Amino acid sequence: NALLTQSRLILLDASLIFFTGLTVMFWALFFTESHRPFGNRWWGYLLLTGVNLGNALSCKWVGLFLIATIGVWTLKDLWEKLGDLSITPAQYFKHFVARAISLIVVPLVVYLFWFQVHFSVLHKSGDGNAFMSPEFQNTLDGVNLGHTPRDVYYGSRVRIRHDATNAGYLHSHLSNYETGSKQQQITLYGFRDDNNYWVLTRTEDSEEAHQNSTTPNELQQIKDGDIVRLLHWRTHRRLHSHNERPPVTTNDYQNEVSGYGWEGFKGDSNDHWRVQILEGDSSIPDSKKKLMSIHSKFRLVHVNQRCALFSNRKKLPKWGHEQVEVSCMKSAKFPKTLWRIESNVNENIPASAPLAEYRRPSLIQKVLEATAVMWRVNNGLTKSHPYESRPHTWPWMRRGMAFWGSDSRSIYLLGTPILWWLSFVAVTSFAAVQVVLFLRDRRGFHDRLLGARERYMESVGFLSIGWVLHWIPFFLMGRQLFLHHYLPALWLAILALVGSLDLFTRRLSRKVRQVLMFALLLATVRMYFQYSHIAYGSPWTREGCERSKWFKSWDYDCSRFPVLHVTT
Amino acid sequence: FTNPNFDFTPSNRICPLHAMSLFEYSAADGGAKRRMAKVTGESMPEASPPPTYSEACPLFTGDISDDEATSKGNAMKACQAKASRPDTALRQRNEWQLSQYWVHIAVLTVFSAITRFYKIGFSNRVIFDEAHHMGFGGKYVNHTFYHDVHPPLAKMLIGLSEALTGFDGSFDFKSGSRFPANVNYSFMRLFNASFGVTLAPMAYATMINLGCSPNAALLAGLLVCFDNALCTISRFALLDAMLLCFTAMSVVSLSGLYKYRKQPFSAAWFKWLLATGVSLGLVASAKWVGFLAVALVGLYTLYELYDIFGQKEVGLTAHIWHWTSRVVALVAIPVAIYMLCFVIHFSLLYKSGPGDAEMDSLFQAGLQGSGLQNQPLDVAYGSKITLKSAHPGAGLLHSHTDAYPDGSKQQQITGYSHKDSNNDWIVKKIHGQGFGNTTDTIEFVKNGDIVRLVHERTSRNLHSHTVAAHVSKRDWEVSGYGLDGTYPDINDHWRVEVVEELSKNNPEQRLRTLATRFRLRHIGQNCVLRATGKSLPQWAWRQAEMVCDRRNHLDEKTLWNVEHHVNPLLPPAEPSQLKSPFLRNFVRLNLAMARSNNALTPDKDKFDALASSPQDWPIMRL
Repeated sequence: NALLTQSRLILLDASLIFFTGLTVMFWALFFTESHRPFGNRWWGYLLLTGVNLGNALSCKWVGLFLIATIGVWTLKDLWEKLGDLSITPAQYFKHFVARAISLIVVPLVVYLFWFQVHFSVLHKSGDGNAFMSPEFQNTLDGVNLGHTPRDVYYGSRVRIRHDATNAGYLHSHLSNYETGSKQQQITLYGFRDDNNYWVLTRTEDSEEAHQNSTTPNELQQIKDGDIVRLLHWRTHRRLHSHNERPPVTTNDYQNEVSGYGWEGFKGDSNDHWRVQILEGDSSIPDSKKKLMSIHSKFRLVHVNQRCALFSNRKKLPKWGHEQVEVSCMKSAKFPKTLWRIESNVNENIPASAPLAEYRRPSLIQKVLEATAVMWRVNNGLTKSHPYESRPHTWPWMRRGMAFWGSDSRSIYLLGTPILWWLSFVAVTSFAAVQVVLFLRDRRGFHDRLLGARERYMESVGFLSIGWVLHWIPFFLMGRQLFLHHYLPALWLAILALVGSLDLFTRRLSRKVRQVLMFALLLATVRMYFQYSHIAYGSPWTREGCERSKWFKSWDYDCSRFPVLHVTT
Repeated sequence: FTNPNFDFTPSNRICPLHAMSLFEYSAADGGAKRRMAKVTGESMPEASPPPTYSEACPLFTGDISDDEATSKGNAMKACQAKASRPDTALRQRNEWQLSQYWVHIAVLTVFSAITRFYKIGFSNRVIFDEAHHMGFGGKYVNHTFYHDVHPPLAKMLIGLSEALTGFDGSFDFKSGSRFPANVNYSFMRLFNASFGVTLAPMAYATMINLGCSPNAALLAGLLVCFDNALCTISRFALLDAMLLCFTAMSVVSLSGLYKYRKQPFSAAWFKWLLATGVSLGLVASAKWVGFLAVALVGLYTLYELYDIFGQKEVGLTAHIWHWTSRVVALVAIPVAIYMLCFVIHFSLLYKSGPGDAEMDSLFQAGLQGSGLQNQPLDVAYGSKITLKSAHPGAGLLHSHTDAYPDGSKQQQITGYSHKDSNNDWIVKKIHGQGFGNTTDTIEFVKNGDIVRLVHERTSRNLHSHTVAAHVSKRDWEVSGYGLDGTYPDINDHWRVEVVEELSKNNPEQRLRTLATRFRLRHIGQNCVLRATGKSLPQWAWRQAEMVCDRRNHLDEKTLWNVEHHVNPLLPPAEPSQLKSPFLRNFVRLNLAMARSNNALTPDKDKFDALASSPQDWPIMRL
């Protein structure tokens, strides 16, 4: 019933389990061809396995567990082939390469292919933009970050983007901190507006020196190591830091960053920031020495406090308009202290000056970036959810998930209990039998069980390892998990159940076996009907519901179903 | 491997020419076999079976001259010839080898001592983590209770070295400060370094036990002796020299156990088994990293038991002996030693100190100077009390004049860790009922009583209602409401539900200071007072959130005890009534250590000049 309920709604799991099933099927077919290696069918099944691995991976990353399953079995197979002296080294090499291409290269190509389809279908700008880098965004219709004068001079008005987080631009506005110095807020803001503009100016002393020099009117480019001041264009505050703790991150090695000063104020030495260019564009060697928009990635190091301008996706409270906190961190690692100038305005720059624009990322770069963002967002799904569950509760189906409910109907994800429990018994008894056989081997009994041992290992063994690899890794995940994450493992376990039954009852007479199998089928179908009401959301009675509720933790609501009045 | 005589034991693989090492003769004395026979109930054969090749003819590479042993074949011949020599020659050789062994050990010890002790008092400042560990040692001298992430043994030994110098506990070992003249820090470091000295001789003994030649073993010892990192870490009063020493002890004992694996239950085997168990106890009590040594021994033991499982000649009784002797020596003894360290730890630290807050109130009451002694035992109506949450970090039930900014906008109720008169509550009867206030008419609070808790400073009642809490929005808000009895409201009523009673002789189930752990159930909403473990925002000064839990969890977040109790009508309690049992303290302290350990996660955006990651260690890329 769980496989059924999950497949009937438009969710990702149906296609994931479909491709999982296809992969396992082609893999099994591939083994049926193992006596004719490198034949057409052999190649066909192997490649189809690889293609469907790629498809499963492209549905959900749970496909990685399937790759691990096939990988473990391939290693086992190759290990056995290594001991098979009838295979020449050249043939062995061919076996190895065939598998590497089909099971590693092909799935990756398929994964890339689906991303290419994804990117070419979703070519318009949308609400996913904010997750991506400006290079990526620039490839979308409706985003045109255009180009901007390349060289940054004193007096330029610039928009500065935080490089590592894509959380936005260095921003300030007419609201003050409610903590610390209570001076004007400095934040990261995701949208482009005038409050993102900062004017890069000299310190008071160097301004004076510049005015007294021979060429006071000449444009001077900002270089690596220069000390600058950043004047907020709209409010005339200067970017400032001092020994106060930031509002959200209260570590003693981080300082608050504020906007301080007023129009006409000369500023103080806590407004001084040193420009440290750490990365440039490799095609423009000068971009590591001179500040260039887009190309140079730089730190702003506070001269007095020796801390670097930093941000880490922490949101300010309501009074900070829930924008992102900016602080100044001592001994910070590089990535989250890197900034880039995205637009550079200066009336004195001649129109013929060199321009800079974002590079166009290649498909692989785009996929890598999208994958990294998916990974981060996935790990960030840690909010608690009323129907989340931990993996140890799945095999015995401690609790289902309510999908939908109306006055007298509901859809509730709950498996067919006998299938869940027996399949769990099947895979665990595989482990138990292996332990017993292992210990018996040690005592000198080398059971072959008329070849059943090998068959058990090859069929149920593969499925059980698949089950383990689709279940155990969830224990390592901190994010929120749900019962439906168990479904691929369940599919494998059901197969293992039948495989085990087939082997365990081998010595019984044909008739007894038929009766047993039929009884299992009957019990399963009976339960399928019993719980079908909450699978299909069809009418049910209070009594039927109460009777089916074997555990209090199966928390579907029986009170919504009408009481059946039995007239005698 | 079809040939049953083919001996493929690990020792033959490691040093194939040194299959049997120095002491094998003294141990293979037949005593072990007799004892074994007794254990297994098998009769001892009158005549020993013909010795197998490896027993009768060990290869003495140590003293086979080169011309004798140019090849393995020659070596066999040579040693067969030797085996036929008279016993006296053999004994002389053994004695010579024994004296050579001790000479090597002595040489290594001297070299090691020279490298470790050289200019040990050169720096007269507190270096690196000496600030922590010498400081903790000083706590044992001062007997003040402290909290740390490491188990106590190594720090107690540092404390011992401080006590031996006659240190008076007046110096606080502040990082980088200069040692005063009356602190004999050189001796303290010397004491600690002597643990580091043992690494080289123990390396030698391990190699000998593993069947290597004395020359190879000597080389191993010398290499350990001249490693700069091992030398440097041993020279300062840190925990690592002791940890390394106990780890090496575990390994040398395990190698001894391995050497005698073919003579189980012999005297030498038991000696090494016991030594392994004791070493494991010591290493785990020094630092939790010591559990890696426990894992090593555990894996080897499992492998050995699996190996014995396959030996069909070993009977059931012998199997049982194999298992029980290992369980006793390698599990029971280490656990006993680990716990013994904590017994000593608690008995040395009997004064109140900086670590009090990690432990519960009842434990603190047992510390001198905690201010929790000499309080009345039974809580009565009219008593002034403070309520401590059993959840670490939640502190005492607190209220202050600030109101919630939204929700009911009534007075805030929080958890606060510091002592303050805003933590004081008066226990009163429900609205409309009075109580006696003389010595004769006084009424005690009992399990199941419905009470009202009135905040002494502001006269607000502890109150809850169907308004969502502020951080944990699924639970009800708890607020301060009313003005004592002026605005009676049933939502001010709470039932005392005793969950655990740690004192004796309490037939009436009275609510007792420190010793009773209870829940407070709200009568109106049937929810329980709970510290959520979360902090309220800045408007409540980031104090701990308190809610009324609708799901009625039974965990330490809903458990409370009375910490301070003032009632002039009642006499102070007998100290014996307020004693926290050892096992409880032991478990609690270990949980607190684990918690502090887990809290030591670095900020991954911060660069730490001293930190490095495991993959960089083997190649020393620092």
